[in-house]
Amino acid sequence: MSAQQPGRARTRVVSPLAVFGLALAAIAELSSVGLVGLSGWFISASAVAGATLYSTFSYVAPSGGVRSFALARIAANYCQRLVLHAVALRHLSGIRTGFFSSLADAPANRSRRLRTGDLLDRSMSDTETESMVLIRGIAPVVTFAIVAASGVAVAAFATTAGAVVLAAASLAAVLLTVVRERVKRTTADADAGRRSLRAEAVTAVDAWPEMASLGAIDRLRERILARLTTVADVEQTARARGFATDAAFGVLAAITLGAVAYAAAIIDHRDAPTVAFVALLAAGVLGTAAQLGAAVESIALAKLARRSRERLMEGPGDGQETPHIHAWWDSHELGFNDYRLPANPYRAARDVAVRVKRGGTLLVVGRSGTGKTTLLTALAEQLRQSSADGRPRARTRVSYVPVDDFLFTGTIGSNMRLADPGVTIKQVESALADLRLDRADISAGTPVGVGGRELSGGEQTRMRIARMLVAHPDVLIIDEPTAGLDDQTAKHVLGVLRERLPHSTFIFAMHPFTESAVHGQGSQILTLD
Amino acid sequence: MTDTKAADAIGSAEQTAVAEEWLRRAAVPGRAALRVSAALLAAGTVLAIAQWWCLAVVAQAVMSHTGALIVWGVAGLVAAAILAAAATWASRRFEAAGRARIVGEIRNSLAVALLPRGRRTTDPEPAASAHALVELADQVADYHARVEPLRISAPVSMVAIFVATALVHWPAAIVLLLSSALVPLNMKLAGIFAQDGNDRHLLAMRRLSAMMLESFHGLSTLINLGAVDRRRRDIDAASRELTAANLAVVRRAFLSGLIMDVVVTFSIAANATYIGLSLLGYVRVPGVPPISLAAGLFVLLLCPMYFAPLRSMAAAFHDRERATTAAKAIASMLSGGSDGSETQSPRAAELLAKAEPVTVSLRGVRYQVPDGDRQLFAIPSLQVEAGSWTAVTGVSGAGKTTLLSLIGGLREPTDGTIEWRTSSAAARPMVGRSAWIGQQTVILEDTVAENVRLGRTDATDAEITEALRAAGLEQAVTALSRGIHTIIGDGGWGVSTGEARRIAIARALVGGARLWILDEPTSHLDPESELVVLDALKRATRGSTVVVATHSAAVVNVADAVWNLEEGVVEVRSALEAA
Repeated sequence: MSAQQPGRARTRVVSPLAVFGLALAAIAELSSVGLVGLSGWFISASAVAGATLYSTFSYVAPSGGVRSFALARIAANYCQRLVLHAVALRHLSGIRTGFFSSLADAPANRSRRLRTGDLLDRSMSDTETESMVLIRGIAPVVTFAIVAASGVAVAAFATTAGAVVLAAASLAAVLLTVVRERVKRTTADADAGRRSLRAEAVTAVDAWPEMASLGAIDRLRERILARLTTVADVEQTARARGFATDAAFGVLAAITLGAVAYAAAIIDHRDAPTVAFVALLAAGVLGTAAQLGAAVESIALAKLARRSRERLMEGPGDGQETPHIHAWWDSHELGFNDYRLPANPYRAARDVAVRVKRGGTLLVVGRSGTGKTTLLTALAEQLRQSSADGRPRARTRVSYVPVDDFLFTGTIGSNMRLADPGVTIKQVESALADLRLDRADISAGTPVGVGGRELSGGEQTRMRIARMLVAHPDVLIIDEPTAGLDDQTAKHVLGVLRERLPHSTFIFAMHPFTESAVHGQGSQILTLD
Repeated sequence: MTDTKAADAIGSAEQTAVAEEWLRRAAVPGRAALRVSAALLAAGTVLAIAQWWCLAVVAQAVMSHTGALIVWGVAGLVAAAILAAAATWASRRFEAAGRARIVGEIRNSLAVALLPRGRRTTDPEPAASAHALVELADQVADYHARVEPLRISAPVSMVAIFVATALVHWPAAIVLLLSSALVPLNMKLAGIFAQDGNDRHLLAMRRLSAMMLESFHGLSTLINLGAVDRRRRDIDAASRELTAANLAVVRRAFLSGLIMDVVVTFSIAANATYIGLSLLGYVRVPGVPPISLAAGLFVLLLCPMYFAPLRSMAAAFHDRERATTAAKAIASMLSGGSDGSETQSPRAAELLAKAEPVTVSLRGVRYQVPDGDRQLFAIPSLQVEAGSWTAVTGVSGAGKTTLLSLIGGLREPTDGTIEWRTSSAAARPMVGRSAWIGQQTVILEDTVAENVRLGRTDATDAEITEALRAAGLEQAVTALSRGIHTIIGDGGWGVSTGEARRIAIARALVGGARLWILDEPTSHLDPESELVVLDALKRATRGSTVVVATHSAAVVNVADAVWNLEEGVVEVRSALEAA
């Protein structure tokens, strides 16, 4: 399905099935208008016939028509809802998956910039706005166009003057809708206002300790409430404008109804059944037109949602370009050079270069803030690019475990299966035993909690390492592999890593206090201090 | 497993009851305006009845060829329809006014709960709080603004139409009555259908949301593990499940809509046929006077109108679920903070605020995470010496920030006592009497002076300039076009992280507190700005007591004492040893 085209989730919501649904929607509305119009004609004709002696009026055909319209209306209405919802919901599912794909394909420094809450908003509610436009926006517009055109055509048979009035009124309705959308077009502004408001509220809640300690809470609160009121006022004004145009719409409908009745009765001298029929037809057409405003608004919102989703993918990165590094690896060795360490209070700026034999270990040692993580990130990115040769599978051969490497909600086993879907329970249990996680009563079925929070810090670290053990990478880069572990466990864990992956090259970033855990294992050391 | 988790997330019945109760009360501030709106809606219905009567009269007049009556009828029709439009307009204005009042009140109480003057018992999640303040409040107000007027006007409108029909031709009213007898049955059916499907839908929705959120959080991990494609398939499956659940729900909803459609459509068709045949003289109900064309047409036109309020009610029913979800989130946040002033003698407060640097003593302090039995730390006895710098170190999550909030009085310890002392007074920690500088500060879109004045409302410009100098911002500010009266923040001069922190320092300085609590004041700063900020802090806190949580070696270097927090135990190191 459409989701298989990653990054290009530009699938259109209007498919052949959707066209069928739209046709059904139009039939339902036509039957609805027809039902009332024909009923009015039938009653009036009966009255005329009833008052005439020896009338030849037959009630069979018209009352049969009334019944057919009634049945058509019920059936078409039910079917159009089903069809249109099925189309819209499938489309929704497709663009959601597509959204995730395009994000996964985006360059790292771009996706890093995006806030996950924003992304969830976009993927869940914005996509819904986009897909549901078929039902809320397109269907009413299409229905109006068809009903208005057929209404005018049918009316033309009965009364020319009436038809002209109805046509003019339909045109006026369209114009009024355009005006309504113009004056209401604060949607984008209000959206921006809300966004900055949300940002201010986030910092305010974040910085509460500071403000409360200072005793400045009252002013801060006033400030935020005042800004909320301002945004609400802007929206209220837009809403009021919408009401005013809706009222104008009501006046238009009133005048049209009167004018059509007048045109048919006085100008064209039609009989009572025709006048009743045409007047009710006009009322029906204008009733359909009343939904135009909301429909056009929902189309505008859907466009907005789509544009902001696309802009998300096009926007700039987070400004933290990965520093330049020249790195390579092959079956013999791994190395890098040309990496510039910037100056800081403990050191002058200098270039670093390193070579590590296959199966060797490099320790990058330095205090917090000396640039260990930056170096590791740059190295991992560069190594992946140079080894990938355009084949994304090769990515798994260079594995990087950042400190905040994510643990997914689920079990220990399901996290391991992410690294290797074919891993057996037995393999999982043996990896756990090797890392001494079984001593903490952790097995393949143990839940890890949301984001791994049910595990302690040390258990999380080992869990991340265990995941890498089953992935069998050729190059394994770990930031702080011993975080949260005591010296003995740390030594053991690093020993197990080497034992299980004897030919892999390791690069570990470590704090000066913890580096002792791996001393004496024949590793190279790069000090950044 | 996932299912039980999700079922937990839906929340206990008790929580739901609290949320429902809150939702009901939230409508109160707007009720008066919404009642006026309801009255206007009902008036609109009456005017619409008049409008259709006029149309019926026109048809009658056409049949009897009374030209004058046609013109009068058309005029009446137009006038009534215009008045009906006006009534609708006015009703919506009042509805909007009521809505504004409801939303304002929700935001007020949320602001108090999220930003309390006193202690905070929970840590509200900033993004969720902002969402509640900005969006959820609107959702609740939308629901009330829509449903509250309808609840009153719908029965009134229906009765008015029923009475009008009965007055004109009572057998037609019986048709209406019979069809409306089917309505409660239909509603009941819809309710049963909806309940059944909604739970499955809600579960699927939550599952997909959680899955999406985790995929965004762990995106780099997924790329790392080469698991993107597998994850995509999982998302796709969850998304399809949601589609199926969604379709199941709407299919049921449409079924009840279908029944409603049948009722409405057939009452129109039945009325039309019955009236037509009566007018032809084929049908005659005994004891009923013969029907006129005007009466017949009028009855027919009122028929669809009779059911319109019911349809609006059904549509508004949809908003209810959204509002209930919003209410749950808001109600849980409202229980978060206290605005009540602490019970402290004003004299002690006075003495502590101005006199001299404060000594902080902790005795038998233990802190337990509120919703869990995890103990964060236990401290037998410790003291922060007056006028000293004490650094608190430890890995992330060790409880450094929590310890600071206990010292600052922002939280209560589970056990034990904390005291602020000077030579002349002693008191429990007081919110609003210390200076706290964290990683986050608020920069308002306002002048530099006003931003600093947040610290003390009556600070003079001279005092502010002095504070800015001490914070090391003098040069940067004098370089600005309008000095301390330059607008900064979002719409003005952009402030860097380091500058923002120095504004926080100046703010704290004019506040004049003698106890400074710093939560990683130099994190996210490059080494150069770190030294500048540290320098400013050193200068600003001369003669004050300082407790600072930090990872930075530079900060530890300047401390007089170091408390290292590890596995819930504080180990006091001398400064030299730690560095």
